[in-house]
Amino acid sequence: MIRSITQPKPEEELNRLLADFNRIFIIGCGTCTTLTRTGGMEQVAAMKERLCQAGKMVTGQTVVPVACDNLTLEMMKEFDAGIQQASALLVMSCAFGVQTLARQIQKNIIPALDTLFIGKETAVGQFQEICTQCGTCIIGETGGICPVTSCHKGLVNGPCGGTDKGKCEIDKNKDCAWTLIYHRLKALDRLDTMRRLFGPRNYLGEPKPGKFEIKTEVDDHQSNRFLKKDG
Amino acid sequence: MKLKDALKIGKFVVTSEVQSPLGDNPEDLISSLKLIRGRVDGVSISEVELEGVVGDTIKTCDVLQQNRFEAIYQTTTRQKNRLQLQKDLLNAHQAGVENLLVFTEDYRITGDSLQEMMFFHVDAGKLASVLTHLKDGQTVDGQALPKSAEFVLGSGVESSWGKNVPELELKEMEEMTKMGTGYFLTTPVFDLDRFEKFLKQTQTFGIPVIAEVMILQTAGVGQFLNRHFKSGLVPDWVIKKLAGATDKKKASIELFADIVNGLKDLCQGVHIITIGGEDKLKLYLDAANLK
Repeated sequence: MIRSITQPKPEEELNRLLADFNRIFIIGCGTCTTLTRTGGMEQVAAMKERLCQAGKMVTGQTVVPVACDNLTLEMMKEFDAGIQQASALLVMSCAFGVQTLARQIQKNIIPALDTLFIGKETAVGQFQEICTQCGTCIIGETGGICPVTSCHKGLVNGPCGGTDKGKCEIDKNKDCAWTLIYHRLKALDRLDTMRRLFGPRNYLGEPKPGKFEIKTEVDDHQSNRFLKKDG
Repeated sequence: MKLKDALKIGKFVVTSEVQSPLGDNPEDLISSLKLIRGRVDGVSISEVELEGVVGDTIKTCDVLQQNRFEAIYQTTTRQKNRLQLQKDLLNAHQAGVENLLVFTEDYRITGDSLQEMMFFHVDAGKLASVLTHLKDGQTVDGQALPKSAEFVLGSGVESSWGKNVPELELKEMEEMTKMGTGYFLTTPVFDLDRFEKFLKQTQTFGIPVIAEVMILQTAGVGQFLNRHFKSGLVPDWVIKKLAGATDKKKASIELFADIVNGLKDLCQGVHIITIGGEDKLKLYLDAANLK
């Protein structure tokens, strides 16, 4: 399952963000930040302790099941009194959760975490970025391994000179993406796909901020009608 | 003699790398280089410096050419996208530069500017797309240029055979050969036996190979490079030899001369990295009998 990978903001930065607020309501998330141990029940309790020691008043705390779900607002109704008392909400979820709450609650919202990437838990306590959502997927020709994400340089035409016996020049413990691709393609007898040079990549696969709309048959019918009209 | 012609007739070529000085006055650099006039077939001017900012590389190429040195414009794809690369190459060509070295460059993990974005938009394949367009008198977007631009291209290759999957290394070199590369420039060579293994594999391409050789004046420089530039770049035996020598200057020159003399029978030239010692280059050329 994909996960939003986060890490706590530096103490100094969080202190600065909270400097103007004395009454804080803390919200954790039962999904990704529980898995990464950055915003689960334990971390929310520790944060409460930390804020109390710093002389802040904690007006309440909760760990919502999925902070980025729109239903979170419904869940929060139970804590309305504590939220109303608070001058700021400290959110220990990823930026998706923080923004979902910010759109729905008219309160100062402070993120406690930095969102690093969308990744996958590859072993207990280890997370890896698998896809950068570039919008121009090439893994059909690279044995299902993404060099845009897995190679530090994002090279799409083979490895750089920094490969050292299958490891990356900047991290001796990290596999070189292109060496992995080579071995995979060799095992699949598809090395011929490596012979092809990828041309210039489209760095604007989806202009930022990305948006996508599912087109229904009705929409298609409508747009055809307009096209005909314009024509 | 132009670098292109020297390579064509099979001369053992000597090139060297310098950095663009900051400020308006490159006189110190020119007076250092004047000491070796006629003894180098090309001088590459690098845009990358471990410690940060360098001067205007294309301007320095121009100044060197005015002083009758064959300039090699050396740039990297780490810092620029295809449009910037295209612009710089056209400007270099307009300044009369005929030789080009383009590296992807290392992923930055030490030194200054660690927080800056790195592009790597142009790798060997995409560089081909830029160069082919310019050669055909077009921009990368297919717009006509007033003038086409063609260069003698040097392509960087790894000198230690077997660091990568050999087939992958050969594939990369095949692609560079197809791109019309003028010569292969290797990473620094210290171990001649290992380098010979590399050359045995690559002779089939029929492209001249120029070996990079570093001037290491002290063991400390070697340790610095290993720590801040690339781990394992300078072998331990080199560092030990320099550290243990009573006459460090002599040891440094001997080390250089031994490597260069060994290379004379192996490849088509050397590219000397002076690491700030341009003014002492003459001593090293003398010792290695590079005339």
